[in-house]
Amino acid sequence: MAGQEQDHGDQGTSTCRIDISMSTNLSEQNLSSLTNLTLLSIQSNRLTSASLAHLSALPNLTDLYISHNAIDSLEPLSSSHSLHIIDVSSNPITSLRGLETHKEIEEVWASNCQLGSFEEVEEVLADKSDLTTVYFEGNPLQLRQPVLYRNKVKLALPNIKQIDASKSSW
Amino acid sequence: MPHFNENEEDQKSLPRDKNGWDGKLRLEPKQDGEDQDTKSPPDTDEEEVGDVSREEHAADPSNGNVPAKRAKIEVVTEHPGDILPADEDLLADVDSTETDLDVTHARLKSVAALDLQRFTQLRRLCFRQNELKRIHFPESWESARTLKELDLYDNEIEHFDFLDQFSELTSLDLSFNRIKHIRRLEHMRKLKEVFFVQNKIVEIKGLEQLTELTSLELGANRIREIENLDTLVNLRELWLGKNKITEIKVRLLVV
Repeated sequence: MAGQEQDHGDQGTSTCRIDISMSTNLSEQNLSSLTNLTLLSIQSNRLTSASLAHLSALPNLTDLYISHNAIDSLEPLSSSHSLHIIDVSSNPITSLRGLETHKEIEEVWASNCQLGSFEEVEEVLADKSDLTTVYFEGNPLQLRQPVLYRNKVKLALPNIKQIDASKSSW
Repeated sequence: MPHFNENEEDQKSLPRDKNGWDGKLRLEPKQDGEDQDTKSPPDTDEEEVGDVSREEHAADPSNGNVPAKRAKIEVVTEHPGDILPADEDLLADVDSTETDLDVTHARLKSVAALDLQRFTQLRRLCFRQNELKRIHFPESWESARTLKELDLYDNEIEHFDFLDQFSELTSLDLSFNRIKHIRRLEHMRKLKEVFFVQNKIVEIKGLEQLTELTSLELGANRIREIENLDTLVNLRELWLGKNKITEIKVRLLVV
């Protein structure tokens, strides 16, 4: 098995991904030995979106904290077990695509990103019945129309309990 | 003289107040060599076991003149009027059947004067926010077999080779110290939670045998890779914030 360990060169990440896609057994012998891991915090590091695909090997992951990294897409998360909490604040993401499949999501923390479309927020999150809290402050969504912002989020997500740091004021 | 006390090896590049004081309390260097223990060792990896044997000998209660020497080391001499009680008094009123000891923020540089030997059934021991570099626990200490929680948060520890006798620990907090390498924890098979926040750890290593771990805190270190965690099958929480990690690596189980 050790012979199949990925190299550490520039191609390390892609080699790794190929290994996983080509062999389920291989991936199951790796990170999936952490079958009890529910919380993973890698905030303030240097992660890119490619890494997120590997999280599908964690069958019980519910709380993922990856704020302050260099992640520009959440799409690799679409194959992961449904998260309950994701903190992706301060990353250069322009879209929430990748969270559609996370049916059990309760909190989405995405302040200071590059999100600009209320339509997309609605498409990705409106059907999530457990969703109570969203943070979108500091996104083009909020910066472009600071006065209308809260009402627009509320229109997109009628059942939401908390928008940013305040619970009421509607 | 452009620098204050420049012959003190640990003085360089520390922030100081207008009197040139860096906020640290030390013994005046002139007292014929007795102050050696209070100086920092050089910040190198080679300094592994260092002066353990000498200090462990000093901590032996059968060595009659030691407590007096220790007490003197704790006395503040740089700021008259700022004199602290010697640390040998700190636990004098505590019953030896106590199970929970807490000496937080007491400017402790050594525990030798605390007479820890007489506490035989400790379950929790806390020396948060002190100035400990090494801790010279009593040899074959009865409490080493009962201690579950050890909290050394915010001290000056580089190497924790003084923990060898504690095999029953379930919780260990070494956050805010000066640790570069995780070594000599293998015997603590019952550990459930470990905290190494804000140290200088460069790699995740040396935890492979701690299979009971449920929570591992390694935030604010110098870690570049997520590795050597495969055997920690009971891990529920993994905290790696504020490091230098570039990818979530899938490592093969190396057995």
